[in-house]
Amino acid sequence: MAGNKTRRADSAATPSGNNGFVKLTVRRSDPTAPAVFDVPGAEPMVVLDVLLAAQQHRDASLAFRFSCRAGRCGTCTVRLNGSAVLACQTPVAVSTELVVEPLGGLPVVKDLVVDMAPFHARWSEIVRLVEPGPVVTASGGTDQTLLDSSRECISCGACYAACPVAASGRAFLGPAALARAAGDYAGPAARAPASVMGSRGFTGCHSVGACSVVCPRDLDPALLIRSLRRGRRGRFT
Amino acid sequence: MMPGTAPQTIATDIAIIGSGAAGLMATIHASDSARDLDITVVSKGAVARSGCSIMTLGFNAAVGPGDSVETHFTDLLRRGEFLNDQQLAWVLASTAPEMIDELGRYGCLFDRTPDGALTVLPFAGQSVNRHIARREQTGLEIMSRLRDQVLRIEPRLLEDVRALDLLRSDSGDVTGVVLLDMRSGKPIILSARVVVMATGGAATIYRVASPAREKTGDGLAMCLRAGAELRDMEMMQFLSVGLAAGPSRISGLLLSEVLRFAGGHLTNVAGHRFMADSAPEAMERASLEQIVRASYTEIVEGRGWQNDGVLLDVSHLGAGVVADRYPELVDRSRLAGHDLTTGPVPVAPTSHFQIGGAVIDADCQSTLPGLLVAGEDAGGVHGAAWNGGNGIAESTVFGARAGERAARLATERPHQDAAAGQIADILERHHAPLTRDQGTVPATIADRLKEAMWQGAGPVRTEAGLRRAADTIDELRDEAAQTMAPALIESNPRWHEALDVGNQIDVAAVVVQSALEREETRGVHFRDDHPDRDDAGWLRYVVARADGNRLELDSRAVALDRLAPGREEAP
Repeated sequence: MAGNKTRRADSAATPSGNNGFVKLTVRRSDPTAPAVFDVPGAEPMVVLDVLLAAQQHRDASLAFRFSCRAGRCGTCTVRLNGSAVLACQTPVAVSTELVVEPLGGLPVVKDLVVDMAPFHARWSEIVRLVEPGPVVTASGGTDQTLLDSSRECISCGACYAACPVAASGRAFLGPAALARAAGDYAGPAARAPASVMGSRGFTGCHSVGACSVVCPRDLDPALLIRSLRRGRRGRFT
Repeated sequence: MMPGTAPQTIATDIAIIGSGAAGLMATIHASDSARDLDITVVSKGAVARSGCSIMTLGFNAAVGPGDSVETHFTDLLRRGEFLNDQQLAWVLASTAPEMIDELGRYGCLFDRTPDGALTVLPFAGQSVNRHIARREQTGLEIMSRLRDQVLRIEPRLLEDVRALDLLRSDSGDVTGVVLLDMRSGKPIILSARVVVMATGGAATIYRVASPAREKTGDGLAMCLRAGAELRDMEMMQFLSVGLAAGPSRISGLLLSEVLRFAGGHLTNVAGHRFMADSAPEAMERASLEQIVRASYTEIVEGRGWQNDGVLLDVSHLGAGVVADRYPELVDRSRLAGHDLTTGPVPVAPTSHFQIGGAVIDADCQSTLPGLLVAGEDAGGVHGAAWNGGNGIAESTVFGARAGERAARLATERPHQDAAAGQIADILERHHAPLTRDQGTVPATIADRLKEAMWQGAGPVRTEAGLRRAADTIDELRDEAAQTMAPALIESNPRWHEALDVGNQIDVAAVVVQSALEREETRGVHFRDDHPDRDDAGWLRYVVARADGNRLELDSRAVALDRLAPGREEAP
């Protein structure tokens, strides 16, 4: 699969009258903390740069996460103007307005930092069910796109946050964990554990498809879940 | 100590500091050695996601046609210009193939030929193809499957928790480590029978750098402050293809050296292909060190693009070809406001891999009892220059050995008390930035440190330049003792930047002093005032050790027990 999806922040943002500046509005966990920042624009600039500038020069306590800056670690996921993006991979044009919020569907630790524990707990539940070991290889005729979706997840949590079933607070395992199961669960579908196949698992999916729309790596968990539910994958039938 | 922050104490058998490939392999192998061990993994960022293992392009192992352990070993020594610890290099070459099998058992997929054999790719610095990859996702594949395996083991995972300093007993044994939960701001005293250090070096101490933000030399600085010996600290591997994106945080991210070999041109701002001056035959296909030095010189002498980078152009290969072959690199160039398919992209030498590190034996034992070191925090494997694909091999091979050694030690070593006063001292020192009403901003100090290292201790070094860097580091150390952060302990980024820069300064000082010591040119260490390799005087490695606030430097002869220069046939 190709690299990260690059969505320009300006396509979704409204032009700001403040020339040369980026107007950043952050949803803070402390409602009394400053939430609107004018940050000098620069070229090139990504959403992460805007957040860092606000933190360095306006409010040192503004909290967010990042690590690799290359779209691999999945830690800088935020909601930008309503949709989940990786802050390090999203360019910003000067004179735009950005509204940045924490990912939905997960408890907020502080400002833009969310607690990924529910996401990881579900992933862990799945990998403990899945036998590690050699799986079907690309040359074995397996659909390449499907395989990619199951393996190249960066655990950024965007799909989990976008999924209305996962966000509803039910025990649904969510797109990333189910895609992981679909890719690696080596056994007949009929014998798959109830947690994978039941209402917490594949049958709990409402086929909304938000997970695949939002994935910053252009992976397709919805397709995996759908095809696995229909038993189309050779290893599951 | 801050009021109301009485530290929580956890007793564990094995404390593993770092969750990259080395830390996770140590976890898996310690657990496989003895199931009932209590293992604690401390991760400054997201587990398996906060280092550079995830960025790995490929894994070097002698599994392909015509390759052998001897050939891989010989390549390591030639690349390292015989500064390597030959025992460690031999362990790497001889164990890497079984690591590929082991990763396969954890579910890692690597690219294979239609008949099922592992695909081995060519790579600069290898005499035989041995680069094993998973398309452009090798590091992600390895780290994702290692994390899955660790999740099956269920060790105690302390995520977003940083280590502050090692604890030592009156007799000098390492007895544990003081931690800080970065979310709650609360300290944790982790008492351990064995500590495995695997935090991944300090390549972030330069202006342009590729590593993840967490890699601020915490492990090396902790080892140093505890009195462990570090070696080869003057050896810092630069790559030539860091994105030059001005003040943007994406600066330093890697394009690929492959672009040079594919026919890319490097020009300065005047449009001159400057490799014609120093390597008229090889041009852009010259050695990595030649390219890095020439690019660096163009930039520091003012012939760079916006004083920031030289220009790498592959657009003459055709937009379609470039887009098709290098989709991820094209995306990255566009993020920086350029486009590899249609024109040049500014690039600069980017600090990538810390070659030096703690002195260890083949089982990762450091010079301190109770402390093992693995991966980029350890020194000796690569000698004077590193090659892509050997870093992940080192992390997995030596992480595994550290885990097995830790499991054995854990049965022999009791929990011991830290020397009196140590915990309070460490906590007080690390809380100090929160207690000041005024002081310096840590990011400013970090920027000045990185600039001083780039100017004085970068790809081209002289005694005068190194001394200027050393003076600046001394000034910055004084200023760093006066950093200030808002007085809140929970999720306080500026506080952690203050702690980071303290570690970066400690490591940078050792890099500069070690570079002053080595009055010759070898591998990545280029002394413009001593431009030749001196095998008669300098088949020796520089060892640094802190004695209180004083740094002691020493050099020791390399044991040339398998191979020596001029005797380069396989052992």
